[in-house]
Amino acid sequence: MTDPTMLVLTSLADGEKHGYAMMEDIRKFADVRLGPGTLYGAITRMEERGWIQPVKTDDRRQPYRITGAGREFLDEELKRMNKVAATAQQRLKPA
Amino acid sequence: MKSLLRLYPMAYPRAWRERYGEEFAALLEDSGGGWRVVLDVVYGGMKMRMMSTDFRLVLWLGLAGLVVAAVASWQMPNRYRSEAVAEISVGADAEAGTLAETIITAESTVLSRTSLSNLIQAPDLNLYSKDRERMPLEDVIEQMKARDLRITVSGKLPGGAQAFKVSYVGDSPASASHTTKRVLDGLVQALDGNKAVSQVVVLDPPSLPVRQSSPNRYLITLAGLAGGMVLGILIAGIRRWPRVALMGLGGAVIAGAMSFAIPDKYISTAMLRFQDAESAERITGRVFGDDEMLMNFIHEGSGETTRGDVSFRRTSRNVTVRVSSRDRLHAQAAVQRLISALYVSAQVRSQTEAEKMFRVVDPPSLSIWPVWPNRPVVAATGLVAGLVLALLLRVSAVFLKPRTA
Repeated sequence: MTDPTMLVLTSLADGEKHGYAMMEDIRKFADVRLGPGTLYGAITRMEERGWIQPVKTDDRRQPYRITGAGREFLDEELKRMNKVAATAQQRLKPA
Repeated sequence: MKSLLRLYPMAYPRAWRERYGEEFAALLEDSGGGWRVVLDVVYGGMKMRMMSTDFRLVLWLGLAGLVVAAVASWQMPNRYRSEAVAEISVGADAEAGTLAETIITAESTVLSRTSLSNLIQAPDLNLYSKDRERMPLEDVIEQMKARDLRITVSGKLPGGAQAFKVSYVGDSPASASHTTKRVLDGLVQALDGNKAVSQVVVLDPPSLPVRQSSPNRYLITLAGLAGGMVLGILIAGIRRWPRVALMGLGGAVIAGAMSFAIPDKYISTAMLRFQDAESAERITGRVFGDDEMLMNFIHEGSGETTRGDVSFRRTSRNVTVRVSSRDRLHAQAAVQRLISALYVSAQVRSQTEAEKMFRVVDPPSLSIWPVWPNRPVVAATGLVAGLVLALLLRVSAVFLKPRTA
């Protein structure tokens, strides 16, 4: 899976993180190196859609947290992906 | 590589930079450099710009321009170009330079208003029938000369011969071909029997075009796209820098309004052909050399024309007279009076004798539009001046702003 939206939402699912922490987390759990431009493109879109929101901070590194709408979307997407994965596995089994 | 990342703000839209700039800069500091990061940042900036309102405005207006231009281009009638090439061989008695003069004379005969008027109204050709319903014949002739009919003389061929090309753009292949042939025949006829010319050979007879020469629908469609995008950029610029745009508009309005204080100037011309170059020189010299007599003739109708408004140009036995005036009718009448002055100066006793001395190839023209001032150009100059002034004020404001510690 390389969709930046899903990767960011998954990263934020266990708690708030700033940009660099998200990049490192994603690299560890998905083995995907997201560039800063790609990451902030995804952050901009997701904030507009209300799936994530910034957390108040005095630091230049801005943390984000996932919202209820974000969790709902992530949940729906995971169910759909699981269904696709299950179907694929079933069809790959030798007859 | 990190120095390149300092330029990242240029890649992103201003609104985005205001919201995310600080935290994004912090992330770049943490991420380190590398070509991969630079390319990712530039790509991200481009995507962000594409999402911006200004970019979408430019894109939509460009697409709208493309569609409008494409539809308009299909509404335009097809036009066809026919061409013919002929070669003129120099005569044994010809003096140096006379061949060029002969061609100029023949060309001016064929392109004279009388000749073109006959061509346009010829029953078998019936050119510009729709245009003639809504425009005076004088304007149709000018349009034909300026847009559709070309006579171009090429360089000299071996043996001193000269080639020339006649081309005409018409509403149908047959009309274009027949008109080109008629013009070519007129030129051959005008050159025939001249001492400077031994023979005229038609190298390429008038072609019958297969494809239309215009409109170029691809080019028009592309121009529509470009025009729409330019309009979008202008609107985006006005929205972003309203004061600069306002100053430019103000400059255009002021300059445009001031141009109406400048009196209009109209020009009327007429072309005469004398029996030979010597009489052309003698008679025009007599009239234009005597300022008092000249101005007496001119001032018969009105006294506003000065000597500087009257001029003439002589090429061999052809003479073009020209008068400029604030009143277009007065300009035309003044040219008519100049022609009368030339008749008087020629000291002829009858019309028949006068016609032997010279004839009016192109009668005095009646100008529709003033040649001066060119108001769109004046307004455009005001617009540019206003924009430059606004830009200078903006730059000086930046430099004069007191620096904070």
